Amino acid sequence: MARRAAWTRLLRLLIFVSILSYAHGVSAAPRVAVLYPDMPEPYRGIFSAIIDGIADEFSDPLTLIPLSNDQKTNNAMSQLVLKDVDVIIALGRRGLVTADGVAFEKPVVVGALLLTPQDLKPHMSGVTLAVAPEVYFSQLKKLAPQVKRVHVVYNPTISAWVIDFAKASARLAGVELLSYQSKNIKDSALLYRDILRVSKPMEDAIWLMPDASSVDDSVILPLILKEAWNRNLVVFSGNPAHAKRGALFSLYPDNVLMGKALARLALQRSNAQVEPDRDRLRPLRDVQAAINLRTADHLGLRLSSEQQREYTLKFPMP
Amino acid sequence: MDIFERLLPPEISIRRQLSFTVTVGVICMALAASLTTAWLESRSVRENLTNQGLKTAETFSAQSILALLFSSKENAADAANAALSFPNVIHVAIYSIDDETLLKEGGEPEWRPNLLRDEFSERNGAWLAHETSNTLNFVAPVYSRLQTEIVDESPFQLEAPVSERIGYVHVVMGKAALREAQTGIFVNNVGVSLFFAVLLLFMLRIIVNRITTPLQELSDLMKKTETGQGMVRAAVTGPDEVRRMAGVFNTMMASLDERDRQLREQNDTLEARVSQRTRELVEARDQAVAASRHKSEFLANMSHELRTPLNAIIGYTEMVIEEMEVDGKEEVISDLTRVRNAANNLLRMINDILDLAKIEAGKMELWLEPVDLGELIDEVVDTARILIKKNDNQLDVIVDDGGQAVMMDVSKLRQIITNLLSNAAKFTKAGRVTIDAKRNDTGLFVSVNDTGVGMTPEQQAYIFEEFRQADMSTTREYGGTGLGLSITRSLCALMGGTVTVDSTQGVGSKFTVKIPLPVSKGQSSLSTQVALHESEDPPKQNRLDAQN
Repeated sequence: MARRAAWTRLLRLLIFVSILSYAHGVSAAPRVAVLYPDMPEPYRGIFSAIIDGIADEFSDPLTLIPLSNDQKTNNAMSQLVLKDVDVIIALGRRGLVTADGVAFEKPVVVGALLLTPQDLKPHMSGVTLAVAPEVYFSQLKKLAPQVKRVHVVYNPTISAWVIDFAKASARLAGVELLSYQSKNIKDSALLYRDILRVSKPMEDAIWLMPDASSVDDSVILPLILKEAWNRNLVVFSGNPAHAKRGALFSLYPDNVLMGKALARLALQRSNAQVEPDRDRLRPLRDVQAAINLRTADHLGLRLSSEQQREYTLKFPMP
Repeated sequence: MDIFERLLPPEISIRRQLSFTVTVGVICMALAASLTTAWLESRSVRENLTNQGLKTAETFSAQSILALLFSSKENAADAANAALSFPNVIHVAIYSIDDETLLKEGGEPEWRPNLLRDEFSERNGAWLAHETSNTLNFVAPVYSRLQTEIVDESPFQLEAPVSERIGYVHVVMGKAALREAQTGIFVNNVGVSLFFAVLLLFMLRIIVNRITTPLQELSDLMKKTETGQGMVRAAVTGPDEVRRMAGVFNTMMASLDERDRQLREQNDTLEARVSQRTRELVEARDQAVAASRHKSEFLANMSHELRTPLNAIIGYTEMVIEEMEVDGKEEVISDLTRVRNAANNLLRMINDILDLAKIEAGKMELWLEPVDLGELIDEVVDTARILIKKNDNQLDVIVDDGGQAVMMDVSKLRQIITNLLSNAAKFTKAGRVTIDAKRNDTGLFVSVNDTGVGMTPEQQAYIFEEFRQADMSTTREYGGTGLGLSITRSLCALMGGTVTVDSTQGVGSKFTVKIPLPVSKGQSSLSTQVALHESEDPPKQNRLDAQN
């Protein structure tokens, strides 16, 4: 913790220095408002961690606007508060909807939400919950370097932009990305069935996309996990529950770091640093990893203690 | 009410009424309870069956996702078999969203859902879509993902995951088990209810016996009292009411016994008195009979003994009179004539007494012969004419004999008429005496009417008794023994007739004789007084009312 705090302080210092050095006429730190859903646990803890990460990046106190499920109230309350705000960090679906609903022309940074570029208005930017493909491939190569092909079924409406990133990342990582479009669960099921038929042990891996139409946890996931177990295929996803159920590994957001990333993005936007359009939505890179050691063992993957320590969650839990 | 009265007449015993009422009540209650319970339990069973069907359909729906996703019935074979292994499930089927049959197990169903109907698209979960007489048909939609997986509001996704409807499952459950269960429940309930009803009736019988047995015993005891058994006491047992009845009965019986005892005592006393009086009466009667017999015997003997010398006196007196007439000694003749008349009077009196004695002794007999009523009346009038003229009386005679003779004891009839005519002539002075005799088919009627001294009602009451005249002075004034009317009455009675008197003092008297015809020898009604028979039998007491 001490080490982390020290790093945080160092980072703040660096940011402060950089802000000072790049400040053109900016005399004060931006006033930031955070719109976040006021929800019970376990969501409350997640948003709290993200806000902690955001707060770490700013010296001034944040304007926190908890959002109920009454959207009209949310809008009215936000409208009053946001007058004196320079930038909004909108968390979750309610955050985005509220930021979108109020008359606010200043920058909005969206986070803690599975996003597509189409979801963002021009004055918005954000970090999606979809993990950056290169992070996956990097993790894959570390764990199972023998994997040559990665199969992924995706909903083009939601994940096409990620696949674009993924293709480039795959090449860099030295794996072949075989992507299959599916707009509904039935197509996905048939696709997975076919993928599972042709996949080769330890050479093929299946990447489970987080969009809902490509995989469901109750029907297709058990089928995939069962076949993958039988055929010694690597399965990875962005949901730690999948690792718990038998996927080799999962990458999931590090909420505090994600908060920091959002804060940094907000700072950049408030400084009117115009981003290229492609960069307005960034995939998630601040992640934690979960691993299923039994699956790894089944696949013949031997992880050193040091390797194991890199994983925040290890299944099955003792 | 009539049916109830007919089924349960009020006069039948309390035990039967109670038993019948409670038996019918208990059986009705048992049946009602059984039916109600069976109905409720059947409803519960049906509800359970329905719930089981719904759950089976939902489970089968969840297990059919893969089969529908892959359009492969092999994926659902296990699920279908698992569903079919549930009790009462007889048919399962999987239909695609286009209403094509993907899988069908358990034969051809009675009913097949038409999935293209709007009703089906509005349903989210399993429901009982159709019911036939033999089956319950459940239908459940199949979604591409399980409904439980869909989180209401995930803050991390802009849109909730879409769950597509990809088909339907159809689960058919047979009602045989339901019917069997319903029948079993009903039979069991009825059995148990009837068992307890019988138990209850058995207990009731014991209770009823406890109530009615003391009543029955009390009733039997009361019957015993009808036969006159005394000292009957009821046992004071059983229910409070019966014990009170027994107590009251015992008190009543004690009171009745006391009264009986008093009555018996009084009866005994009365019987003793009656017995004593009877003995006294018998003694008195015996004495009277003996006295009467002695009197009659005495009179008969005396009359006989007196007539013999008296006849001698009369005979000799007449001889002397005849000799004196020859000798011409008129003064002696006159005296002798008086002697002879006095003797004749005395003889008549003795004859009267003899007749009365005969009658009383039952020795007077009737000699029936044809009698010319006119001649008889003339004969009697001739005899009495002297006496009538002596008192300056006028005699009227009216005779109507119907033109034929009458069978009669002529001497008795003559004596009757003579007695009545003599009395009329004797007690009438310068008056009128009328004799009226007539005969018809029914009888002989003779009345003697005079304008004489008459009698008071009191005198009329005893003039027919022996030795009685209207008053004692009469004997002195008119002479006579007082036996004439008594003999007249006795003679009338002997011929089955009567003699009555109708008289007013100072005006006159009318004696009327009625003798029914024909007269028979055996009709004698007997003696006017106590008749003595020669037999050893106790004397019969026959009363003849002269007024009759």
